[in-house]
Order: sequence, then C-alpha cells, then structure tokens
Amino acid sequence: MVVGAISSRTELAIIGAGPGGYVAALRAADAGIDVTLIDRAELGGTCLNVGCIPSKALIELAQVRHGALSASAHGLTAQVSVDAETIAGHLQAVSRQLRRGVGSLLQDAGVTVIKGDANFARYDRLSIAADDSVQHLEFDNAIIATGSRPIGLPAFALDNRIVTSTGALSLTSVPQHMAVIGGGYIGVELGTAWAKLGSQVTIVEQGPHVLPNVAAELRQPVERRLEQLGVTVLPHTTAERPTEQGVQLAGGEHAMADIIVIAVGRRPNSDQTSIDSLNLDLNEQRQIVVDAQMRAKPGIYAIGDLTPGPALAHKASAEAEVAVHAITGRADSFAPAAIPEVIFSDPEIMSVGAPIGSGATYRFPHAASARARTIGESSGATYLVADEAGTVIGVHATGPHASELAGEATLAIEMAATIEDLAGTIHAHPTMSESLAEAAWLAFGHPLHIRR
Amino acid sequence: MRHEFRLADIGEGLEEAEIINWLVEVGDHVRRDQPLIEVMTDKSNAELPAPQAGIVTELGGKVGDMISVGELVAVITETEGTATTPVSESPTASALPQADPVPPAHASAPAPAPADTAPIAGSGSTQQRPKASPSTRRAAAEQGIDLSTVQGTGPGGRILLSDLDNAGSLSPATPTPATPTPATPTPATPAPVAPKTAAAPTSAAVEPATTGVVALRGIRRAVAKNMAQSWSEIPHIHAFQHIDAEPLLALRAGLRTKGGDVFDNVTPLTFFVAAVARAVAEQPQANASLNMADETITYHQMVNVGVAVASDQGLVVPVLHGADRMDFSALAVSLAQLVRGAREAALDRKYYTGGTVTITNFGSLGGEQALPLIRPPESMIIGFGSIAKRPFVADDAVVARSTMNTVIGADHRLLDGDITTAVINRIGSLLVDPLQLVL
Repeated sequence: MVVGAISSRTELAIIGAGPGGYVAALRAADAGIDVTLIDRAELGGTCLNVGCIPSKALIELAQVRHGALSASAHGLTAQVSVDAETIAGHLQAVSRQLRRGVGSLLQDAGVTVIKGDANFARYDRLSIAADDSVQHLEFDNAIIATGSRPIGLPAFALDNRIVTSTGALSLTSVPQHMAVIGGGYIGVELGTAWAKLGSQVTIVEQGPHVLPNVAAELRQPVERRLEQLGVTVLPHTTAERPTEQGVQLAGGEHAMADIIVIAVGRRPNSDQTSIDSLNLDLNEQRQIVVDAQMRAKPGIYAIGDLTPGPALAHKASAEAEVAVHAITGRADSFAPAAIPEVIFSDPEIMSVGAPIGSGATYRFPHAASARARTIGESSGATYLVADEAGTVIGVHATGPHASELAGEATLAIEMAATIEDLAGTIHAHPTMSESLAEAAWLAFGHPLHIRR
Repeated sequence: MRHEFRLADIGEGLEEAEIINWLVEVGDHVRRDQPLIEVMTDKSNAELPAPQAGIVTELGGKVGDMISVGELVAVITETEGTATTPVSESPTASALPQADPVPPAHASAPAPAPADTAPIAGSGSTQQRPKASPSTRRAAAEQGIDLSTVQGTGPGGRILLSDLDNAGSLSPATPTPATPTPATPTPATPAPVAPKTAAAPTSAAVEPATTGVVALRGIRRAVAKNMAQSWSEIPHIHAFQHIDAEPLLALRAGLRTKGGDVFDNVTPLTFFVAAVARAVAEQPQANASLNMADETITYHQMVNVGVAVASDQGLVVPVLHGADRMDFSALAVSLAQLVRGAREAALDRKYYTGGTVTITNFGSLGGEQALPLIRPPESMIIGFGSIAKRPFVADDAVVARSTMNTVIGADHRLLDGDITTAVINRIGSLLVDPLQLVL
C-alpha cells in the first residue's frame, strides 16, 4: 500500500547503475549536474556483479589449476584441490570490492543513489518503488541504462540445476558433468573454466561451430584447445529438454549433466521500466533506436546493451560520456572508429575494426613470437588489416593475453595510424605486442622473425 | 495490397509537374522512401519517394507528360515481406554513422540474441569514415566542421588538426557584413526584422491608410519598443548558410502523400521549427537569456520556439512551448493550431510569452536573405529565406537546384561565433537530411 508518495526533482535521472549508468552519473556530476542514479539491484550492474568481473576471476583461478597440472613436462608437478565454495566466495569478494569502490566514487561525486524499481510515469517523471513506498522523481533529462538479461529457454525452467551464467558463477561444488547450451562467447568462457576445474563439459550448439561470429582463423586455436581439454562440442545440435541425468538432445542423443548452463544469448531490457510508455523506436532486436548523441527523444537518452551495437561494457561507458556531453551542451557524438571486442577463451581472442580479408591482411604467426614461446602458447596469430593507403583499419589476434593488444590496436585505428607508424614504434621485448610491429614489417615486405 | 500513389502538392501552390525521369520500371521492387520519379514544377525539381515498399505495377505517365495534383503517379502493390524494411537499412544506420552491423541471430537462440553473438562480428568497416584522431574529431565537432568535407594532408590521407584551419566552416565562406545595416540585398526585406514586411501589407487594418499623425498604439508600439531595445542594446552577430532544399520538399511531399491526417499539416515551417528545436536543444548554452540588470544568465530547460506570424493585428509571435520534446507529428499539429490561432487572434495571452528562440520565415514573402533582430530577452533569432532555383554545386558541377538561405542572429554578449555557427550548421544538416526530424 502506497501512502504519501514523496515527490522530488533532479536535473538528470539515470536508471541502471552498470558500466553505462554509473559512468554517466560520475561524468554528469563532474560537470556540475544534479544527478540521481537508480538501480533495483547492486551498483555495478551485470558486468561487475554477475558478468565480466566474476567470470574473469573464475577463469584466472581455473587457469592456475590447469597451468599447474599441465606443466609436468616442463619440470613442474603439482596437485591442486578445488574448493568451489571458497572460489564462489572469492568471486563475490572481488565484485564486492569493486562495487564498494564505485559506491564511494558516487558518494564523493555527490550523486544521489536510490535502490528501487523505476518506471516512467511520464516523459519527465519516474515513479520509484522500494520497500512498500513509492516516490516520484521529476527530471529534466533521463538516461536509460538498464542493460540486458540472459535469454531463457522455455523447456528449461531455471532451478538449482538449470542456471544462467549468473548461476554458473556461484556453484558451490564442481559438477562432475556440465552441459552448456549455447556456444557463444559466454558458453565457451564458462565451459572452458569449469573444464579446467575438473568438470566433464559438453557444449551444445545449434550452429556449425562454437563462437558463431568469430572468423575461422581466430576461432580454430580455441576449438583445438577445447578438444585438448576434453570438452565435447556438439555442433548442429538442439537441446530439447532436461532429463534427470542431463539434457535430451534432438535426434535421440543425450548429454550427461549435473549442472545445465543456459547461455543462448542476452536480450535488451527494453520491455521493462515502462519504456513502452515513452513510445520510443525499437528495432527488430528490441534495441532502442538513438541518434548519434544517444538521444531517443528530446530529454530521453539510452545507452549500453539497450542500444544497437555490440553489448559490451566499454561501449556502454563510451556512450555514457556522449550522452552526458549532449546533456551538458558539449559537441560530441558516438562515432568510434572501432569498438574492440575480447573473448577470454583459451587462448584469448581480440578483434577490433575491419574484418580479416576486408583489406590487405598481414598475418604474424605466434610460433615466431618469443613471448608466446615462453608462455607455452604459440598456436595463434596476429592479423593486421590495412586499407589501400596503408592506414590500419583492423587488428585481430588469437593468443596469450590477446585481450591486452586491444589498447594499442584500437588506438592505432582511432588515430588513423599507418602500418608505417606501427612498424616505426619500438615495442618492448619480449611481449605479445611485438606481434603488431612484426605484422607491420611483413606488410612492408621486410618481415623480421619469419621467412619471406 | 494495391496502393495508388498520387501527386500531392510538393510546394506552395503547385498545380502540376512535368515528368523528367522515371527512376524505376514496372516490376521493380522498391523500398519505402526509395526515389520513384523526378518531376519538375515551376519552382523546383523534386524526386518523389515511394510512400511504401512493394512492386511497381503501373506508371502514371511517360517522360515529358504533365501530371496534375491528385493524378496518379504510380501504383505500388504491396507483397508479403515487403511491408517491413530491414532494420539495418533504416534509422539505426543514419543514427550511428559508424553503426556496427547488426549481428545475425545466434544459431541456437530461440529469440534474437544481440549480446552473446555481438562480439567479434567485426566492428564495421572504417572505409567511409574520415581519417582523423579523436582530438581532431573533437576539435572539428566544436568548430562545426564536417570532417567528410575536409581534405586530409597526413599520411594515408589522415586529417590533421592543422587541416581544420582551411576547412569550410560557415563563417569565412559567407562573410557577415561588418556593419549590420538594415539594408539587405533584397528589396523585399528592407527592414531590420524581416517579418515587419509581413506586417506591412496586413497592417492596413490597424494603421489608417490616411496621411497625418496617429498615436503609436497596440502591437505596433510593442514592436517599436522591442526592436529599438534590440537594436540599441544587443550586439548582433549573424551567420548564413545556403542549403539544398530539395530533400525537404521531397520528404514533405512523401509525408503528405502517405495520407496520414497528422502530416496534412506539414509545411516547410514545420521542418524549420523542428530543426531549430533540435539544434538549440543540443546546444543548451544557446537556450538562454541575458539579464544585464542583475548580471545573470538564465538557462532555459525547454526550447520554446516563437514563430513570427502576420496577423490581422500586425506582426505577432506565438510560442510553441517545449518544441524540443515533441515528436514530429505532434509538432506539426500543434504548430498548425498555433499559427491558425494567431492569425485569427484567437490565442490566449500565455501563447505569446516564454519564448526562448524565434523563427522568422521571411522566405514565405519572397525574401532571399535578411538580418533579423533578436527579440529580447531571447538570445537568438533564426530566419529562413525563400526556396527557389539557384545555382548550386553538387558533385563538382553547378546545377540549378531548389535551395534556400538560412540566417542566425545571436546576442554576442552571450554567444560567440562557435556556438552560433554550430547551431546554424546543425539546422542546415537537419534540413538537408530531414528524415532525421521525422523519425
């Protein structure tokens, strides 16, 4: 029962405190705007609490075990026992530390944070429900940053055994058998991690292979690694329904599973927060159509997974800056040269800009990389894509720490660097970043560490 | 479903148009808004877009024929699957110049799965994007320079910060007269405020057409005081732009042809108001008033657009409040009601107050260019000249094209050339691609 609804006013209301919303809040507060940030759950959103952050902590731990167990040929023999409950606690602790950091940054910036369920009541007003009370908040501008959620499968009702990525990050024991439904990057990352922690993992994928949108060159080292780890990949396979022992597959096959992870994708939360009452334009993916200032309607902005483009935390944060600039009257638009994408598979995949083969493409195999050899992972390669003028327009790599190449690669593309610029930049030895210079030298016809 | 596409009035007073060129043939599949036909009227050439997707099953004439308003242009038959256009071709593409290709749905997903499938799809080709570093981009945006018009001198054609110095920002190309004398090139607009000429023909109603001395009263008195204050107190700066008006005419024709009642109200003024509201909303510093008495600046929340209208009582400026918060159809309806109300002197007083920026549509009187005066305490006035055939450079050739001049007058105490230019440039970019205003 709602009694005596409080009404207040803010210059900028931000709904959703993930890497889009909290960055917008900090930036807007920095610009001197009165900001109210609303989230029904914890600060930090999916990424920080149940996404990028805990999954990377899990992947690191899994690799520690796997690395220790697979170094016996190099003179290192180890026994590693796994306490899943402590691991789950560790993942939560990492998230908690970062969440507290975000909380104190917001507090220092003077952002008003409200925990509650926000709904648009009008174009300029939200009603926020929390603990049996409802308050009204009038705003001059609003940024919708409510993100996305995992897609469910109707036949697989979630419970203790059938979980989404969120559940797969809080398991308190290592499942003997795990089935991952969906071979996208989330399924591959989680499947690999649990395989390294001792699970017998099966990945069920409807398409012809895992990582459906990743170029074959980049994908293949990962597919080989999955095989080495004993992960069963079932391509062209549909999961029909759960059984007592696992998953019934189309065509009569059956996959054993104590834990079934549903990782078939995510959908934007554009059906919540009474967004429909705003009459915003949605595209066929149910994403909110925005202009280059992230404006969906005058005074209403949308950022992050709700808007077209890849559903990535760093895209949301970059869009947050643009939206705040639009609100504060700074000339800006969301028009990146490229958005880097990283997959924490084994080995890692990094991809930014124009695809392999869309321009002159130069490949430097990691077999010739000193750093890759020292890490003991030389199956991948670095690819440089240039246009006719020699400007770098794409960089892609599969290999150890490939994700860390995203910085230099994206900077090069944003700066319209030429391959000559890359070749003329001194790269530290021994690092994986040398592979960029090596690929650039190759482009000039003067390869250094590989034969012509 | 069979849809008859008939010629609508695409310009003021159009009665008929000559078919210059067919852009489609019978049997062609057309997308919505795909140009169907090029026609010439006594005022302009225009491409008329398809009002809907489908197959062209009949053409209304051959090249050289005259079509009258209301006559058949073409018949488009809607087939299954043509009714919806792929998303990747429509608003998103224009909204995000560097839009990432929408990833195909995940093979194993029962529903569209944007997130899991998005990564590594490739962040799109960078081929058409002007090559420039982020700092250069920022500088260009702040100076209102469209990088696609700048020749880069860096390696690989990269646009350097220094290249922006030679770039075509508005002001050098169309120099503002050093002294804003009331005299303008066009005799039709001799007064400092163009719309005053609007008052002239109709003001006979309030000003006796006799010789002798009469008291200065009513609206004439208010205008006199207001303009004297504007002229003596506000250091004006003006900037101009000469823009292609054909996209606007074509879109307006398309909207009217579509037949929705709300679009019957669409006139060029609708686009002007929508463009001004959008451009000013994007530059909040420009939506402001200077109060010299207490030396403060008031920044306004909403963009309230005043529209100079010639009424029986003289020049009046009804205000469309919150124009920046209206979608296009709502704006069209509200504006039409407002203007009608003002002409008929049927508006409540509140509709004449609270303006934050004013539009003068002196082009509707035939004026090509003018130096309009700001209405204090506003900080800007934006004028639109006549739409007429003029020499225009397109694709490196001078062609006859329907164009118009736009002008902005800004209070230099409050606004500098950068924001002034950014606002008029933005208005120009919206009017040249007016679909942005409708979507």
